[in-house]
Amino acid sequence: MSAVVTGPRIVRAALRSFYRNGWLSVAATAIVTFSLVLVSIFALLLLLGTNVIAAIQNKIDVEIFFKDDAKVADILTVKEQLERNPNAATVKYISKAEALGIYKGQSDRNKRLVEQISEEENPLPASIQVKAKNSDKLDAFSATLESDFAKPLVATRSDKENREIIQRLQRIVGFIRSMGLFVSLTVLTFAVLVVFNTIRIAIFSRREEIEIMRLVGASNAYIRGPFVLEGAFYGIIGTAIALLLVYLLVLAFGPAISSYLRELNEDVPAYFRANLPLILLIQLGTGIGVGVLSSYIAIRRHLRS
Amino acid sequence: MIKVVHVKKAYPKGNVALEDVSLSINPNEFVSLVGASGAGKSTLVRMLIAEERPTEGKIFVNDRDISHLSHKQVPFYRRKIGVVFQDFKLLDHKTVGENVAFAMEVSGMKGQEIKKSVPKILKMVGLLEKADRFPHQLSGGEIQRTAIARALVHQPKLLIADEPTGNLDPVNAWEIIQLLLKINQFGTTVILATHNREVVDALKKRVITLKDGKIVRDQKVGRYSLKKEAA
Repeated sequence: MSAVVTGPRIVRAALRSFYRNGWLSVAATAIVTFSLVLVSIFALLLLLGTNVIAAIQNKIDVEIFFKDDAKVADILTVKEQLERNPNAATVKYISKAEALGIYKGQSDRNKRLVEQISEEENPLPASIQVKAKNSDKLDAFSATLESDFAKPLVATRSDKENREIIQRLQRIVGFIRSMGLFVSLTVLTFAVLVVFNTIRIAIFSRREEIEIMRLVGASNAYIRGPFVLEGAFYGIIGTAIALLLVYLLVLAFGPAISSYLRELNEDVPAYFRANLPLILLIQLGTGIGVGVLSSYIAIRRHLRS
Repeated sequence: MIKVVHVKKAYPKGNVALEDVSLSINPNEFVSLVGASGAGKSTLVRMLIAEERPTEGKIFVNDRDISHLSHKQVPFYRRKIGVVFQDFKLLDHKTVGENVAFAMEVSGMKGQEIKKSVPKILKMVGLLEKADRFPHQLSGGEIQRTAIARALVHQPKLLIADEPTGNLDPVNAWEIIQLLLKINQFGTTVILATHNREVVDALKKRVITLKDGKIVRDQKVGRYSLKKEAA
Protein backbone atom coordinates (compact mmCIF):
# COMPACT_ATOMS: atom_id res chain seq x y z
CA MET A 1 0.00 0.00 0.00
CA SER A 2 1.49 3.27 -0.95
CA ALA A 3 1.08 6.56 0.85
CA VAL A 4 0.27 8.22 -2.48
CA VAL A 5 -2.93 6.20 -2.67
CA THR A 6 -3.92 6.15 0.99
CA GLY A 7 -2.72 9.66 1.89
CA PRO A 8 -5.54 11.56 0.16
CA ARG A 9 -8.09 9.10 1.55
CA ILE A 10 -6.85 9.70 5.07
CA VAL A 11 -6.91 13.49 4.57
CA ARG A 12 -10.46 13.36 3.20
CA ALA A 13 -11.62 11.19 6.09
CA ALA A 14 -10.01 13.59 8.58
CA LEU A 15 -11.64 16.65 7.00
CA ARG A 16 -15.02 14.89 6.98
CA SER A 17 -14.67 13.94 10.63
CA PHE A 18 -13.59 17.46 11.58
CA TYR A 19 -16.64 18.88 9.80
CA ARG A 20 -19.07 16.32 11.22
CA ASN A 21 -17.80 16.89 14.74
CA GLY A 22 -19.15 20.44 14.38
CA TRP A 23 -19.16 22.32 17.67
CA LEU A 24 -16.84 19.80 19.25
CA SER A 25 -14.24 20.69 16.66
CA VAL A 26 -14.85 24.36 17.36
CA ALA A 27 -14.42 23.81 21.11
CA ALA A 28 -11.26 21.77 20.64
CA THR A 29 -9.80 24.37 18.28
CA ALA A 30 -10.77 27.15 20.70
CA ILE A 31 -9.02 25.60 23.68
CA VAL A 32 -5.93 24.90 21.58
CA THR A 33 -6.01 28.51 20.37
CA PHE A 34 -6.41 29.82 23.91
CA SER A 35 -3.49 27.80 25.22
CA LEU A 36 -1.32 28.84 22.28
CA VAL A 37 -2.11 32.51 22.92
CA LEU A 38 -1.11 32.14 26.57
CA VAL A 39 2.04 30.21 25.75
CA SER A 40 3.00 32.83 23.15
CA ILE A 41 2.38 35.74 25.49
CA PHE A 42 4.61 34.23 28.13
CA ALA A 43 7.24 33.31 25.57
CA LEU A 44 7.21 36.87 24.24
CA LEU A 45 7.44 38.41 27.70
CA LEU A 46 10.35 36.12 28.51
CA LEU A 47 12.13 37.05 25.31
CA LEU A 48 11.55 40.74 25.93
CA GLY A 49 12.65 40.53 29.54
CA THR A 50 15.81 38.65 28.66
CA ASN A 51 16.59 41.19 25.96
CA VAL A 52 16.03 44.11 28.30
CA ILE A 53 18.44 42.62 30.80
CA ALA A 54 20.98 42.00 28.08
CA ALA A 55 20.50 45.55 26.80
CA ILE A 56 21.10 47.04 30.23
CA GLN A 57 24.07 44.81 30.84
CA ASN A 58 25.53 45.92 27.54
CA LYS A 59 25.32 49.49 28.66
CA ILE A 60 27.96 51.15 30.73
CA ASP A 61 28.47 49.25 33.94
CA VAL A 62 29.86 52.08 36.00
CA GLU A 63 29.50 55.74 35.20
CA ILE A 64 31.28 58.19 37.48
CA PHE A 65 30.34 61.86 37.49
CA PHE A 66 32.92 64.24 38.83
CA LYS A 67 32.48 67.40 40.79
CA ASP A 68 32.96 70.61 38.84
CA ASP A 69 36.01 71.56 40.90
CA ALA A 70 37.86 68.28 40.25
CA LYS A 71 41.03 68.84 38.27
CA VAL A 72 41.29 67.14 34.89
CA ALA A 73 44.71 65.72 35.82
CA ASP A 74 43.21 64.09 38.93
CA ILE A 75 40.36 62.65 36.92
CA LEU A 76 42.80 61.17 34.46
CA THR A 77 44.72 59.61 37.37
CA VAL A 78 41.50 57.95 38.51
CA LYS A 79 40.97 56.78 34.94
CA GLU A 80 44.43 55.18 34.91
CA GLN A 81 43.71 53.48 38.24
CA LEU A 82 40.49 52.09 36.84
CA GLU A 83 42.21 50.91 33.66
CA ARG A 84 44.61 48.88 35.76
CA ASN A 85 41.68 46.83 37.05
CA PRO A 86 41.68 43.40 35.31
CA ASN A 87 37.90 43.48 35.06
CA ALA A 88 37.92 46.69 32.99
CA ALA A 89 36.96 46.25 29.36
CA THR A 90 36.91 49.90 28.36
CA VAL A 91 37.36 53.06 30.35
CA LYS A 92 36.32 56.24 28.67
CA TYR A 93 36.80 59.82 29.82
CA ILE A 94 34.21 62.36 28.81
CA SER A 95 35.10 65.97 29.47
CA LYS A 96 32.55 68.66 30.32
CA ALA A 97 32.76 69.96 26.76
CA GLU A 98 32.24 66.52 25.28
CA ALA A 99 29.29 65.92 27.56
CA LEU A 100 27.73 69.12 26.30
CA GLY A 101 28.36 68.02 22.71
CA ILE A 102 26.69 64.67 23.32
CA TYR A 103 23.76 66.40 24.98
CA LYS A 104 23.38 68.77 22.06
CA GLY A 105 23.55 65.90 19.64
CA GLN A 106 20.67 64.04 21.28
CA SER A 107 17.90 66.31 19.96
CA ASP A 108 17.13 69.60 18.32
CA ARG A 109 15.39 70.75 21.44
CA ASN A 110 18.53 70.10 23.48
CA LYS A 111 20.55 71.98 20.92
CA ARG A 112 18.34 75.06 21.14
CA LEU A 113 18.47 74.90 24.93
CA VAL A 114 22.25 74.70 25.00
CA GLU A 115 22.58 77.61 22.61
CA GLN A 116 21.22 79.81 25.39
CA ILE A 117 24.21 79.18 27.61
CA SER A 118 27.90 79.94 27.19
CA GLU A 119 30.78 77.46 27.45
CA GLU A 120 31.70 78.72 30.92
CA GLU A 121 28.21 78.06 32.19
CA ASN A 122 28.25 74.43 31.04
CA PRO A 123 26.28 72.64 33.79
CA LEU A 124 27.21 69.12 32.68
CA PRO A 125 29.78 67.20 34.71
CA ALA A 126 32.87 65.46 33.39
CA SER A 127 32.56 61.69 33.66
CA ILE A 128 34.25 58.34 33.22
CA GLN A 129 32.35 55.42 31.71
CA VAL A 130 33.60 51.98 32.62
CA LYS A 131 32.50 48.88 30.79
CA ALA A 132 33.33 45.76 32.79
CA LYS A 133 34.21 42.35 31.43
CA ASN A 134 32.03 40.84 34.11
CA SER A 135 29.29 43.14 35.27
CA ASP A 136 28.54 41.00 38.32
CA LYS A 137 31.89 41.95 39.84
CA LEU A 138 31.97 45.69 40.17
CA ASP A 139 33.28 45.77 43.72
CA ALA A 140 36.90 46.17 42.58
CA PHE A 141 35.96 49.45 40.88
CA SER A 142 34.23 50.58 44.03
CA ALA A 143 37.44 50.10 46.00
CA THR A 144 39.26 52.46 43.64
CA LEU A 145 36.50 55.02 43.78
CA GLU A 146 36.16 54.86 47.54
CA SER A 147 39.88 55.55 48.01
CA ASP A 148 40.99 58.73 49.76
CA PHE A 149 42.28 60.12 46.50
CA ALA A 150 39.22 59.53 44.34
CA LYS A 151 36.39 59.91 46.78
CA PRO A 152 36.51 63.73 47.13
CA LEU A 153 36.41 64.12 43.35
CA VAL A 154 33.35 61.97 42.72
CA ALA A 155 29.91 63.55 42.67
CA THR A 156 27.78 60.47 41.92
CA ARG A 157 28.08 56.93 40.57
CA SER A 158 25.61 54.82 38.64
CA ASP A 159 26.81 51.26 39.18
CA LYS A 160 24.72 50.56 42.25
CA GLU A 161 21.65 51.87 40.52
CA ASN A 162 22.14 49.65 37.45
CA ARG A 163 22.76 46.59 39.46
CA GLU A 164 19.52 47.09 41.33
CA ILE A 165 17.59 47.51 38.08
CA ILE A 166 19.09 44.34 36.67
CA GLN A 167 18.35 42.38 39.81
CA ARG A 168 14.79 43.62 39.82
CA LEU A 169 14.38 42.69 36.17
CA GLN A 170 15.87 39.27 36.76
CA ARG A 171 13.37 38.71 39.53
CA ILE A 172 10.53 39.76 37.20
CA VAL A 173 11.80 37.53 34.41
CA GLY A 174 12.16 34.64 36.85
CA PHE A 175 8.61 35.21 38.01
CA ILE A 176 7.33 35.35 34.43
CA ARG A 177 9.21 32.14 33.68
CA SER A 178 7.77 30.12 36.57
CA MET A 179 4.34 31.70 36.26
CA GLY A 180 4.37 31.14 32.50
CA LEU A 181 5.45 27.56 32.90
CA PHE A 182 2.73 26.88 35.45
CA VAL A 183 -0.06 28.59 33.51
CA SER A 184 1.09 27.12 30.19
CA LEU A 185 1.29 23.59 31.53
CA THR A 186 -2.13 23.91 33.17
CA VAL A 187 -3.86 25.22 30.10
CA LEU A 188 -2.01 22.77 27.84
CA THR A 189 -3.21 19.93 30.05
CA PHE A 190 -6.77 21.17 29.61
CA ALA A 191 -6.21 21.37 25.87
CA VAL A 192 -4.91 17.80 25.76
CA LEU A 193 -7.92 16.59 27.73
CA VAL A 194 -10.43 18.43 25.56
CA VAL A 195 -8.85 17.25 22.31
CA PHE A 196 -8.56 13.74 23.72
CA ASN A 197 -12.27 13.67 24.54
CA THR A 198 -13.27 15.25 21.26
CA ILE A 199 -11.40 12.58 19.36
CA ARG A 200 -12.89 9.94 21.62
CA ILE A 201 -16.35 11.14 20.69
CA ALA A 202 -15.32 11.12 17.03
CA ILE A 203 -14.13 7.55 17.49
CA PHE A 204 -17.31 6.61 19.29
CA SER A 205 -19.53 7.99 16.54
CA ARG A 206 -17.53 6.05 13.97
CA ARG A 207 -16.91 2.89 16.00
CA GLU A 208 -18.94 0.79 13.59
CA GLU A 209 -16.90 2.03 10.66
CA ILE A 210 -13.69 1.36 12.56
CA GLU A 211 -14.82 -2.17 13.38
CA ILE A 212 -15.62 -2.81 9.74
CA MET A 213 -12.33 -1.32 8.63
CA ARG A 214 -10.51 -3.74 10.89
CA LEU A 215 -12.53 -6.68 9.65
CA VAL A 216 -11.85 -5.94 6.00
CA GLY A 217 -8.13 -5.56 6.59
CA ALA A 218 -7.38 -1.88 7.14
CA SER A 219 -4.00 -1.40 8.76
CA ASN A 220 -3.91 0.29 12.15
CA ALA A 221 -2.03 3.19 10.63
CA TYR A 222 -4.82 3.70 8.09
CA ILE A 223 -7.48 3.67 10.82
CA ARG A 224 -5.47 5.94 13.08
CA GLY A 225 -4.53 8.39 10.32
CA PRO A 226 -7.73 10.43 10.07
CA PHE A 227 -8.07 10.86 13.83
CA VAL A 228 -4.47 11.89 14.35
CA LEU A 229 -4.77 14.27 11.42
CA GLU A 230 -7.98 15.68 12.86
CA GLY A 231 -6.04 16.41 16.05
CA ALA A 232 -3.35 18.09 13.95
CA PHE A 233 -6.03 20.26 12.30
CA TYR A 234 -6.98 21.63 15.73
CA GLY A 235 -3.34 22.57 16.17
CA ILE A 236 -2.92 24.12 12.72
CA ILE A 237 -6.14 26.14 12.80
CA GLY A 238 -5.45 27.04 16.41
CA THR A 239 -2.03 28.35 15.43
CA ALA A 240 -3.44 30.50 12.64
CA ILE A 241 -6.00 32.11 14.95
CA ALA A 242 -3.60 32.39 17.88
CA LEU A 243 -0.97 34.08 15.74
CA LEU A 244 -3.51 36.66 14.64
CA LEU A 245 -4.77 37.20 18.20
CA VAL A 246 -1.28 37.57 19.61
CA TYR A 247 -0.38 40.05 16.89
CA LEU A 248 -3.48 42.10 17.69
CA LEU A 249 -2.55 42.01 21.38
CA VAL A 250 0.98 43.11 20.52
CA LEU A 251 -0.38 45.98 18.44
CA ALA A 252 -2.70 47.00 21.26
CA PHE A 253 -0.25 46.77 24.16
CA GLY A 254 3.07 47.04 22.34
CA PRO A 255 3.44 50.82 22.49
CA ALA A 256 2.76 50.82 26.23
CA ILE A 257 5.34 48.10 26.81
CA SER A 258 7.84 49.86 24.57
CA SER A 259 7.59 53.09 26.51
CA TYR A 260 7.76 51.25 29.82
CA LEU A 261 10.87 49.33 28.80
CA ARG A 262 12.83 52.21 27.32
CA GLU A 263 16.06 50.29 27.72
CA LEU A 264 14.92 47.83 25.06
CA ASN A 265 15.05 50.59 22.46
CA GLU A 266 12.77 48.51 20.32
CA ASP A 267 9.20 48.78 19.25
CA VAL A 268 7.36 45.65 20.30
CA PRO A 269 5.25 45.04 17.17
CA ALA A 270 8.40 45.25 15.05
CA TYR A 271 10.06 42.91 17.48
CA PHE A 272 7.12 40.51 17.08
CA ARG A 273 7.39 40.64 13.31
CA ALA A 274 11.13 40.06 13.45
CA ASN A 275 10.65 37.00 15.65
CA LEU A 276 7.63 35.72 13.72
CA PRO A 277 9.34 32.51 12.50
CA LEU A 278 10.28 31.59 16.06
CA ILE A 279 6.82 32.38 17.43
CA LEU A 280 5.19 30.49 14.57
CA LEU A 281 7.43 27.52 15.27
CA ILE A 282 6.60 27.53 18.98
CA GLN A 283 2.87 27.78 18.30
CA LEU A 284 2.75 25.26 15.49
CA GLY A 285 4.92 22.83 17.41
CA THR A 286 2.83 23.14 20.56
CA GLY A 287 -0.50 23.10 18.70
CA ILE A 288 0.23 20.12 16.51
CA GLY A 289 1.95 18.42 19.44
CA VAL A 290 -1.13 18.75 21.63
CA GLY A 291 -3.51 17.70 18.85
CA VAL A 292 -1.55 14.76 17.55
CA LEU A 293 -0.50 13.44 20.94
CA SER A 294 -3.99 13.43 22.45
CA SER A 295 -5.70 11.96 19.41
CA TYR A 296 -2.97 9.37 19.00
CA ILE A 297 -3.47 8.21 22.58
CA ALA A 298 -7.25 8.18 22.14
CA ILE A 299 -7.28 6.06 18.98
CA ARG A 300 -4.52 3.80 20.20
CA ARG A 301 -6.47 3.05 23.34
CA HIS A 302 -9.52 2.31 21.27
CA LEU A 303 -7.71 -0.04 18.90
CA ARG A 304 -6.05 -1.89 21.76
CA SER A 305 -9.24 -2.57 23.67
CA MET B 1 -5.66 -25.36 3.61
CA ILE B 2 -6.56 -25.16 7.29
CA LYS B 3 -5.11 -27.12 10.16
CA VAL B 4 -6.33 -26.62 13.68
CA VAL B 5 -4.03 -28.41 16.11
CA HIS B 6 -5.08 -29.10 19.70
CA VAL B 7 -6.60 -25.71 20.15
CA LYS B 8 -7.90 -24.65 23.51
CA LYS B 9 -9.52 -21.35 24.33
CA ALA B 10 -10.08 -20.40 27.92
CA TYR B 11 -11.32 -16.99 29.02
CA PRO B 12 -9.93 -15.19 32.05
CA LYS B 13 -13.00 -15.95 34.17
CA GLY B 14 -12.34 -19.63 33.78
CA ASN B 15 -14.93 -20.71 31.26
CA VAL B 16 -13.51 -22.80 28.50
CA ALA B 17 -14.93 -22.14 25.03
CA LEU B 18 -12.90 -24.73 23.16
CA GLU B 19 -11.17 -27.80 24.47
CA ASP B 20 -8.56 -29.63 22.48
CA VAL B 21 -10.06 -29.06 19.04
CA SER B 22 -8.18 -30.46 16.05
CA LEU B 23 -9.38 -30.49 12.49
CA SER B 24 -8.13 -30.26 8.99
CA ILE B 25 -9.82 -28.73 5.97
CA ASN B 26 -8.61 -29.31 2.42
CA PRO B 27 -8.51 -26.70 -0.31
CA ASN B 28 -11.80 -26.22 -2.10
CA GLU B 29 -13.86 -27.92 0.59
CA PHE B 30 -17.25 -26.68 1.71
CA VAL B 31 -17.53 -27.30 5.43
CA SER B 32 -20.43 -26.57 7.72
CA LEU B 33 -19.64 -25.91 11.32
CA VAL B 34 -22.68 -26.65 13.44
CA GLY B 35 -23.62 -26.70 17.06
CA ALA B 36 -25.90 -24.98 19.52
CA SER B 37 -25.18 -21.50 20.82
CA GLY B 38 -22.23 -21.65 23.14
CA ALA B 39 -20.83 -24.80 21.54
CA GLY B 40 -17.75 -22.88 20.42
CA LYS B 41 -18.54 -22.15 16.77
CA SER B 42 -18.11 -18.42 17.08
CA THR B 43 -14.93 -18.77 19.10
CA LEU B 44 -13.45 -20.97 16.41
CA VAL B 45 -14.52 -18.52 13.71
CA ARG B 46 -13.03 -15.59 15.63
CA MET B 47 -9.74 -17.42 15.88
CA LEU B 48 -9.80 -18.28 12.18
CA ILE B 49 -10.09 -14.59 11.33
CA ALA B 50 -7.36 -13.71 13.87
CA GLU B 51 -9.77 -11.77 16.04
CA GLU B 52 -8.80 -13.93 18.99
CA ARG B 53 -5.81 -16.06 19.84
CA PRO B 54 -5.95 -19.61 21.11
CA THR B 55 -4.85 -20.20 24.69
CA GLU B 56 -3.12 -23.37 23.60
CA GLY B 57 -2.49 -25.03 20.27
CA LYS B 58 -1.94 -23.67 16.79
CA ILE B 59 -3.92 -22.76 13.74
CA PHE B 60 -2.40 -22.94 10.28
CA VAL B 61 -3.95 -21.34 7.25
CA ASN B 62 -2.08 -22.05 4.03
CA ASP B 63 0.78 -23.45 6.15
CA ARG B 64 1.08 -20.19 8.03
CA ASP B 65 0.63 -20.12 11.79
CA ILE B 66 -2.00 -17.47 12.39
CA SER B 67 -2.46 -18.12 16.09
CA HIS B 68 0.14 -15.55 17.04
CA LEU B 69 -0.03 -12.84 14.42
CA SER B 70 1.12 -9.42 15.56
CA HIS B 71 -1.14 -6.36 15.41
CA LYS B 72 0.63 -5.31 12.26
CA GLN B 73 0.23 -8.64 10.51
CA VAL B 74 -3.48 -9.11 11.18
CA PRO B 75 -4.71 -6.62 8.52
CA PHE B 76 -2.63 -8.29 5.84
CA TYR B 77 -3.94 -11.70 6.82
CA ARG B 78 -7.53 -10.41 6.71
CA ARG B 79 -7.03 -9.26 3.14
CA LYS B 80 -6.35 -12.83 2.16
CA ILE B 81 -9.58 -14.20 3.58
CA GLY B 82 -13.20 -13.22 3.12
CA VAL B 83 -15.53 -12.94 6.09
CA VAL B 84 -19.31 -12.68 6.22
CA PHE B 85 -21.30 -12.04 9.39
CA GLN B 86 -24.82 -12.60 10.61
CA ASP B 87 -25.30 -8.86 11.19
CA PHE B 88 -23.81 -8.00 7.77
CA LYS B 89 -21.57 -5.22 9.12
CA LEU B 90 -22.24 -2.87 6.24
CA LEU B 91 -22.04 0.91 6.49
CA ASP B 92 -25.55 2.36 6.32
CA HIS B 93 -24.44 5.67 4.85
CA LYS B 94 -22.67 4.03 1.95
CA THR B 95 -24.30 2.51 -1.12
CA VAL B 96 -23.84 -1.11 -2.16
CA GLY B 97 -21.05 -0.12 -4.52
CA GLU B 98 -19.40 2.12 -1.95
CA ASN B 99 -19.50 -0.59 0.70
CA VAL B 100 -17.70 -2.96 -1.63
CA ALA B 101 -15.26 -0.25 -2.70
CA PHE B 102 -14.59 0.60 0.96
CA ALA B 103 -12.84 -2.72 1.58
CA MET B 104 -10.57 -2.02 -1.38
CA GLU B 105 -9.91 1.58 -0.33
CA VAL B 106 -8.76 0.66 3.15
CA SER B 107 -6.31 -1.87 1.78
CA GLY B 108 -4.73 0.76 -0.44
CA MET B 109 -5.96 -0.26 -3.89
CA LYS B 110 -5.82 2.43 -6.55
CA GLY B 111 -8.98 4.30 -7.47
CA GLN B 112 -9.05 3.16 -11.07
CA GLU B 113 -8.56 -0.44 -10.05
CA ILE B 114 -11.46 -0.13 -7.60
CA LYS B 115 -13.72 1.40 -10.25
CA LYS B 116 -13.02 -1.52 -12.54
CA SER B 117 -13.37 -4.26 -9.93
CA VAL B 118 -16.56 -3.22 -8.13
CA PRO B 119 -18.97 -3.85 -11.05
CA LYS B 120 -17.37 -7.23 -11.75
CA ILE B 121 -17.84 -8.36 -8.18
CA LEU B 122 -21.38 -6.97 -7.96
CA LYS B 123 -22.26 -8.78 -11.16
CA MET B 124 -21.06 -12.01 -9.62
CA VAL B 125 -23.46 -11.70 -6.70
CA GLY B 126 -26.23 -10.37 -8.94
CA LEU B 127 -26.40 -6.84 -7.55
CA LEU B 128 -24.97 -4.82 -10.42
CA GLU B 129 -28.19 -2.91 -11.04
CA LYS B 130 -28.52 -2.10 -7.31
CA ALA B 131 -25.03 -0.64 -6.91
CA ASP B 132 -26.38 2.79 -6.01
CA ARG B 133 -28.92 1.63 -3.43
CA PHE B 134 -28.34 2.08 0.27
CA PRO B 135 -28.58 -0.95 2.57
CA HIS B 136 -31.95 0.16 3.97
CA GLN B 137 -33.40 0.04 0.46
CA LEU B 138 -32.49 -3.64 0.07
CA SER B 139 -33.92 -6.98 1.19
CA GLY B 140 -32.07 -9.02 3.80
CA GLY B 141 -30.76 -11.35 1.14
CA GLU B 142 -29.50 -8.47 -0.96
CA ILE B 143 -27.78 -6.96 2.04
CA GLN B 144 -26.00 -10.22 2.78
CA ARG B 145 -25.05 -10.55 -0.89
CA THR B 146 -23.48 -7.10 -0.64
CA ALA B 147 -21.49 -8.30 2.34
CA ILE B 148 -20.42 -11.40 0.40
CA ALA B 149 -19.38 -9.19 -2.52
CA ARG B 150 -17.27 -7.17 -0.13
CA ALA B 151 -15.71 -10.36 1.22
CA LEU B 152 -14.68 -11.29 -2.30
CA VAL B 153 -12.80 -8.11 -3.21
CA HIS B 154 -9.38 -9.65 -2.67
CA GLN B 155 -10.30 -12.91 -4.42
CA PRO B 156 -9.79 -14.89 -1.23
CA LYS B 157 -8.94 -18.57 -1.21
CA LEU B 158 -10.91 -18.89 2.00
CA LEU B 159 -14.36 -17.54 2.80
CA ILE B 160 -15.64 -17.73 6.36
CA ALA B 161 -19.36 -17.18 6.86
CA ASP B 162 -20.49 -16.81 10.46
CA GLU B 163 -24.26 -17.44 10.62
CA PRO B 164 -24.84 -15.67 7.31
CA THR B 165 -28.47 -16.75 7.20
CA GLY B 166 -29.23 -16.08 10.84
CA ASN B 167 -31.23 -12.92 10.14
CA LEU B 168 -32.87 -14.09 6.93
CA ASP B 169 -36.14 -15.79 6.00
CA PRO B 170 -35.87 -19.26 4.40
CA VAL B 171 -36.11 -17.99 0.81
CA ASN B 172 -33.40 -15.38 1.29
CA ALA B 173 -31.33 -17.85 3.30
CA TRP B 174 -31.38 -20.36 0.53
CA GLU B 175 -30.39 -17.69 -1.97
CA ILE B 176 -27.30 -16.96 0.13
CA ILE B 177 -26.38 -20.63 0.43
CA GLN B 178 -26.62 -20.98 -3.36
CA LEU B 179 -24.25 -18.07 -3.73
CA LEU B 180 -21.78 -19.61 -1.27
CA LEU B 181 -21.92 -22.88 -3.23
CA LYS B 182 -21.23 -20.97 -6.44
CA ILE B 183 -18.22 -19.27 -4.83
CA ASN B 184 -17.03 -22.67 -3.65
CA GLN B 185 -17.30 -24.00 -7.20
CA PHE B 186 -15.04 -21.22 -8.40
CA GLY B 187 -12.31 -22.59 -6.14
CA THR B 188 -12.73 -20.90 -2.77
CA THR B 189 -12.77 -22.91 0.42
CA VAL B 190 -15.94 -22.08 2.35
CA ILE B 191 -16.49 -22.49 6.07
CA LEU B 192 -20.10 -22.00 7.05
CA ALA B 193 -20.85 -21.67 10.73
CA THR B 194 -24.58 -22.11 11.23
CA HIS B 195 -27.34 -23.64 13.25
CA ASN B 196 -29.79 -23.71 10.40
CA ARG B 197 -30.87 -27.36 10.20
CA GLU B 198 -32.61 -27.20 6.80
CA VAL B 199 -29.61 -25.60 5.18
CA VAL B 200 -27.12 -28.11 6.51
CA ASP B 201 -29.25 -31.12 5.70
CA ALA B 202 -29.87 -29.93 2.14
CA LEU B 203 -26.22 -29.18 1.44
CA LYS B 204 -24.98 -32.76 1.64
CA LYS B 205 -21.46 -31.55 2.34
CA ARG B 206 -19.01 -32.11 5.16
CA VAL B 207 -20.37 -31.22 8.59
CA ILE B 208 -18.33 -30.70 11.74
CA THR B 209 -20.42 -30.69 14.89
CA LEU B 210 -19.25 -28.91 18.01
CA LYS B 211 -20.63 -29.44 21.46
CA ASP B 212 -19.41 -27.91 24.71
CA GLY B 213 -16.20 -26.85 23.07
CA LYS B 214 -15.38 -30.22 21.56
CA ILE B 215 -15.77 -31.77 18.14
CA VAL B 216 -18.36 -34.52 18.61
CA ARG B 217 -18.81 -35.46 14.97
CA ASP B 218 -17.08 -34.91 11.64
CA GLN B 219 -18.95 -36.43 8.69
CA LYS B 220 -18.09 -36.36 5.00
CA VAL B 221 -21.74 -35.97 4.07
CA GLY B 222 -23.35 -34.82 7.24
CA ARG B 223 -26.67 -33.96 8.68
CA TYR B 224 -27.49 -31.52 11.40
CA SER B 225 -28.36 -33.41 14.50
CA LEU B 226 -28.17 -32.57 18.12
CA LYS B 227 -29.21 -36.01 19.26
CA LYS B 228 -26.69 -37.83 21.38
CA GLU B 229 -25.08 -40.25 19.01
CA ALA B 230 -21.73 -41.88 19.00
CA ALA B 231 -19.24 -39.81 17.09
